[in-house]
Amino acid sequence: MSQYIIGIDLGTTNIAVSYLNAEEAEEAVPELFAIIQITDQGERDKRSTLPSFLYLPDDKEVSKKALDLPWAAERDYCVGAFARKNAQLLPGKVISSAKSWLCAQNVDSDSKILPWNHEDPSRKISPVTATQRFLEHLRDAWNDSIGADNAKAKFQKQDIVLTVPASFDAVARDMTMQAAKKARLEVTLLEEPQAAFYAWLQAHNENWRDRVAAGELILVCDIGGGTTDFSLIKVTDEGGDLDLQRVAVGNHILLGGDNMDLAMAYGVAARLLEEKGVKLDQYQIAGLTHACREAKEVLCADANAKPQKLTVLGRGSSVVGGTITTEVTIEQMQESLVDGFFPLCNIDDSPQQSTKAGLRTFGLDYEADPAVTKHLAAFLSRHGDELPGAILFNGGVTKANALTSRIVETINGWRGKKDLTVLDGTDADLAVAHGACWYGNVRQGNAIRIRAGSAHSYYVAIESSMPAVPGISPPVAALCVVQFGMEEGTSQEIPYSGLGLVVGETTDFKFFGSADRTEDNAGEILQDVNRDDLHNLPSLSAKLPVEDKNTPAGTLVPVRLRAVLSEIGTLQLWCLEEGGSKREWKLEYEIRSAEPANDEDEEAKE
Amino acid sequence: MRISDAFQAFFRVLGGADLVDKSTLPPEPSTPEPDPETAKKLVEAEATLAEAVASLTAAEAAQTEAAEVQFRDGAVYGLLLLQREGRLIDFLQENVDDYEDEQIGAAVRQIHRDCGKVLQENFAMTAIVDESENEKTMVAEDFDPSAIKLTGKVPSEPPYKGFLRHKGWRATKVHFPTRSGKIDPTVVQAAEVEFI
Repeated sequence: MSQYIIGIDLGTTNIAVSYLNAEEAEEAVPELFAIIQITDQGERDKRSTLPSFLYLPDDKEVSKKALDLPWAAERDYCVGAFARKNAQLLPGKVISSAKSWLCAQNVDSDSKILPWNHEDPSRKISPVTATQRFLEHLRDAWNDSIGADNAKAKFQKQDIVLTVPASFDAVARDMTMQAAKKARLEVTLLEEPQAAFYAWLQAHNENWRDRVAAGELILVCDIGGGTTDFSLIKVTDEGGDLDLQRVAVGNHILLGGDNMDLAMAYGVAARLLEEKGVKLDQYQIAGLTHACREAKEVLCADANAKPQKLTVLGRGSSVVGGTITTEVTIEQMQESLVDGFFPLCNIDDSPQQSTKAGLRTFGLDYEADPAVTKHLAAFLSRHGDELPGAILFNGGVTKANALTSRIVETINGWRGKKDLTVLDGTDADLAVAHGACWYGNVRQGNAIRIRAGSAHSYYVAIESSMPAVPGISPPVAALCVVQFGMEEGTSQEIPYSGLGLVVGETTDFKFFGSADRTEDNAGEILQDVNRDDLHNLPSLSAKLPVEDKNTPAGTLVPVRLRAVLSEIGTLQLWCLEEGGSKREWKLEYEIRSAEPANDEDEEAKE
Repeated sequence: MRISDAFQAFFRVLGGADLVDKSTLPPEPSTPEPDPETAKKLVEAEATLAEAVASLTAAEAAQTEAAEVQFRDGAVYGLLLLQREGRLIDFLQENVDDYEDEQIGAAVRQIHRDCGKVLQENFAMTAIVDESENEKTMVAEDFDPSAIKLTGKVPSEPPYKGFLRHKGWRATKVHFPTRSGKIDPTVVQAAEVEFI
């Protein structure tokens, strides 16, 4: 048994680590691990969280050894507070939201693409490597303090639970596991909304059963700095005892508190320009965003709050002379935040889709519609007619009363009665890390476990058999290999024959996932793959070696597929030879060559 | 000579005392002259001692100088934190004669808030006597005159009962981040040059 159980909330904008002494795990409350990090050039300090930013400076930008840590000499990058500080001043040199890149659909998260706008391609790293750097930092910071005592206390020797968005599909989970492996860590993955719910279970360890009813559906609404994540948990009655099952997860929604602060700041900036003719630069916008965040917290907490002063200090040494000041009223906040991001809407509303231009720049797929309530309506509609009877909020944004009460009001409107229960007692910022810690306890059998199946269904593309028509490629259909809800830690053979692999050649399968198609069974065929509810994943490939004379190169070997879903939601697909020598081959994710995507432009120029 | 060397030399002398036996001690006026061998040892021992004392003095001086440098750098660093987080130096260095009070007030509100955070986080500033000012207070008999200043008609004997005019401030901790690398300790705010 490890000495500690460690929970890591690997957030899009902030990372928190909490830990428990494994021997006292049943009673102890998780403690937050203060993370030593570079806070400025040549300066390090402990902070309660590690901002998820990575700064890759040029030689001249920082003094020699200014990014060194006790365990790292001559460092040429840094993660944490100083990196975040530079995100606005040096946008091309700082990686942010690396996590969202892990599940970005149009890029390969193992290729060297970040920071997206860096001028020197040789300095770019992959989203997987960025994640690895964050984990390495946590490992080394721990081993420099708690882990310095004895060999048993080393980070890599502990039971580590790492949280990922519930919307992460098998590939994004696999990428996260690869990053952990490269940081020489063995981790268990846990979905963030589940972790938040575990924190709630821990907070009410004695009497949680009194607070929910059998048959009830609980919505976990997690709105972080950069992303929004929904999950539904069903309370079931198993022979008189309550049981919990995670029945649905949402898509990855790139919308969070940072968008709200920015929206407020840009609103104020526009008003300043209109009323006073003052135009703010990037630096001032950053200062204003910070002031807006503070004003938001006051205005959202108290319905009678006075207008809040917003001050942007001068950038140069003339701090008084350069100061711009304005104020924001509760009505303005209501308009830009509550009505802007949480408009009252119908359950059958859906978020507006952006009209995708023919040529889109690569990058993160930010939401076209900022209405969180519409995303929520679409999520609930996709998962049946039943509406949640209880809600657990999580994430920094949900500390704002004005916003959470609007969400409650909206759901009550859909329910047609004002009886939605709000589950409380957790810390909106730290519940995920604490809950992850608690999950370590759950795994040892000391507390109730939320049962969860695959949150996605998965498909491989197959060519439909039809008479060859010159000039027309045969239509592609999708074969379901993992159905929604497939139990984690199990495997199944796909009842479909008609697949073949060519010996000595690489066979590629296109691979798709869906968080919305909950009714398809393994072995079923979906005729059209160009649909909104399927998203592309990296291709799968298998190469059969030329082994014996009976099957020379070029021979077609008929195969079946087997899907293996691990405990932590990663997926393996195997090809099983039908008849013959019953050989098996694993399908590998096809990771494209590790070149930045925008290098293609340069090649085109040459 | 480094401090450690100086100490080594000093302890060498102390530890070497056994080779300077009692007979090598300075002679009593009445005793006869020591034999030449002992006299030589005595001279050597005195020389070693003198050398050790000299190097200790040098070490002390170096130590004092190091402490002074540390103190000076620490003081500037305190200013740096107030400037970086709260723009205090910009504010104090600026000529505010020509600005309206409203403009100054707007800036000060922000500077006040940000500098206050530094005082709390880095110095944990707390009142020495946490009571209401201008109310009666009792000063303990064994009070520390550097922390509590008695004024007015101070009684010659306790009880010291008076009015609290200023509750005092104490930095209950000094927490500075660790610094490393090649950093110029006199810089309070780096100049900034932007390329567009």
